Amino acid sequence: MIKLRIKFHSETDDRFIITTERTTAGRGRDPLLSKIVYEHEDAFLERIVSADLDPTTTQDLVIAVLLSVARAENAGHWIPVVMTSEQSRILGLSASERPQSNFNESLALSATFEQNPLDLHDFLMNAPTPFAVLSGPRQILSFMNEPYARLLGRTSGSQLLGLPAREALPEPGFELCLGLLERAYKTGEPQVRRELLNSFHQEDTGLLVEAYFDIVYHPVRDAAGSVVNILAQATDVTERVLARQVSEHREQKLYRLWAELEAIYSVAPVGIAVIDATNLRLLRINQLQAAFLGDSRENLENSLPNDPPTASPEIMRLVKLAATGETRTNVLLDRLSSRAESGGPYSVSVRPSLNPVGVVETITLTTLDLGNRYLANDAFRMAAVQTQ
Amino acid sequence: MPQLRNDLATDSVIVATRQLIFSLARALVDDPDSVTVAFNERDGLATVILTVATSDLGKMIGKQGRTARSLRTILQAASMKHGVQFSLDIRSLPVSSLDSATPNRAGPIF
Repeated sequence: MIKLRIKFHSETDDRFIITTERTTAGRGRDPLLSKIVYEHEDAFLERIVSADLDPTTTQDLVIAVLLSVARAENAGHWIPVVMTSEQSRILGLSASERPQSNFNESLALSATFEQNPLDLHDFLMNAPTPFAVLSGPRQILSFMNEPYARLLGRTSGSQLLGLPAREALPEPGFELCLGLLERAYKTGEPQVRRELLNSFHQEDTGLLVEAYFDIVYHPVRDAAGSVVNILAQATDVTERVLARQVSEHREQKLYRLWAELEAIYSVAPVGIAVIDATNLRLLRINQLQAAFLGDSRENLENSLPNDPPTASPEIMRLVKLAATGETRTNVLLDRLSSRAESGGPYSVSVRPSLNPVGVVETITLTTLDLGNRYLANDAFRMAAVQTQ
Repeated sequence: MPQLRNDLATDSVIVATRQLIFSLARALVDDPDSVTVAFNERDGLATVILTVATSDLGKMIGKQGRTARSLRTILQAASMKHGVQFSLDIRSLPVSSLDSATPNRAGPIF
C-alpha cells in the first residue's frame, strides 16, 4: 500500500490540477510525486470511480474535487489517502500517466508503467538524464525531473508544472523547441534535433545562457491513435559542441597554414623537402626537389629511403647529420641522385626542426640548382667561400 | 449495457451509488438536511433523483452546469464499471414534479 496526500486546484480556464506527495513513515513526506493537469476535472472523477478505492476514500476524493471546483476556498487542502500501486496507476498519479483520457482506454504509455508505476516514476525523477512529459494540445508540462528543470535554467521544476509550454518557456530562445513540440503533436512524428542552440536566463543568476541541446520529442498515442502526450528527453551537449568548435577552429587554422605552404612549395625556385627525422621518410616534397632527385613528387612523397638508396651518399650524410641536430647550409654537391639525368651543381641546406621538448622531429632540405646562375649567384658565392 | 436486475449485486451497486451521491450533495449544499436521494427504475435505466433545497439548486448545478456535469460523470463511470446504467435528475423542494420519475423501489432512503 502507498500512503499519499493529494490536493486539488481549479484554474479559471477550467484546468484542473492535482498535486500528489508520497508520505513515508518515519521520513515525513517525500518531495513532490507528481503534478497532473487535466483540461477538466471530469477525467479524474472517472478514474476515481474506476479505481476501486474503499467507499470512504472515494467519497472523500470526489467531495474534495467538487468542492475545489465549486468553492475556491476549499481548494488546496491536503487529503491523506492510502492505495495500492494499481489504484495509483488507474488514478494517473504516476506523473507520466496521460491526463484528459477516458479511464478505460488502453494507453500505450501506461503499458510501460503497468508493473509498478511509482518505481518507474522514482526512476525518472532520480535519473541524471532530463525527462519531461507535456500533455494535451497546449503541451502542458505535467512531469519534469530536476535535471530537466536545471537544463532550462530553472532551480526547480515545480513552478513550471501545470503550465503550457509557451508559458513555461517564454524566452525567444526556446521558440524553435516549441515549434518542434507542436510539430510532434500535430504530425505524430518524433522530432529529433541535434545540437539545437537555445538561449535563456538562468533563474538563480539572471545571466543569459546559450546552450546546445540534443532533443527528442516523442509523441505518445492513445488506443485510438491520437497523440495525447509528448515525452521529452534532452541532453545538454554544450561542452561537446564547444570542444568540437575549438577543434574545428584549430583544423581550419592548420589547413590555412598548409595551403599557404603548398603555395610556397609550388612557386618557390628552390627544391624543398621535409623529412621525418626518425625514419627519414619524405613527408613533403615539392616538384622541383623531386626533379632534382630524379623522380616524381607523387612517388617520393611518403616514401622511405630506397634500398639501395637512390639519393647520393652525400645528401644522405647531410640528412642524417641534421637528424642529430646539426644544421648545414649551402653545401655544394654535384649530384643529388643516381637517377638525376642532368643539372647541378647544387647548393644544399639541411636544418632540423625541434619539437617542444627539444627532440629533432623533422628535417627541412632545400636545394638550389646552381646551374641557374641568375638565381644562384649569391648562394654560389657563399658555397664557394664555405668550401675553401 | 445489461438490463437492470433485481439481484443482490445490483442492489449493492445501487445502494453504494445512492450513498455516494447523497454524501456528495450534502457536502456541497448549505442545507444538507434537505437533501434526499431517490431511485427510479424504468426501461432498464436507473434514475437517481437528487433533491435539494431550492436555495441550493444553483450550487448543485454549478456555474455553467459544471457540478451537475461532474455528478453525471461519476454516475457514467459507475455505469460502465458495474453494468448498471444510471442517469441523474436534480430537483429542488418542494418536490412537485416527481410524477415523471416516481421512485418505485424504496423511495427516498436518506
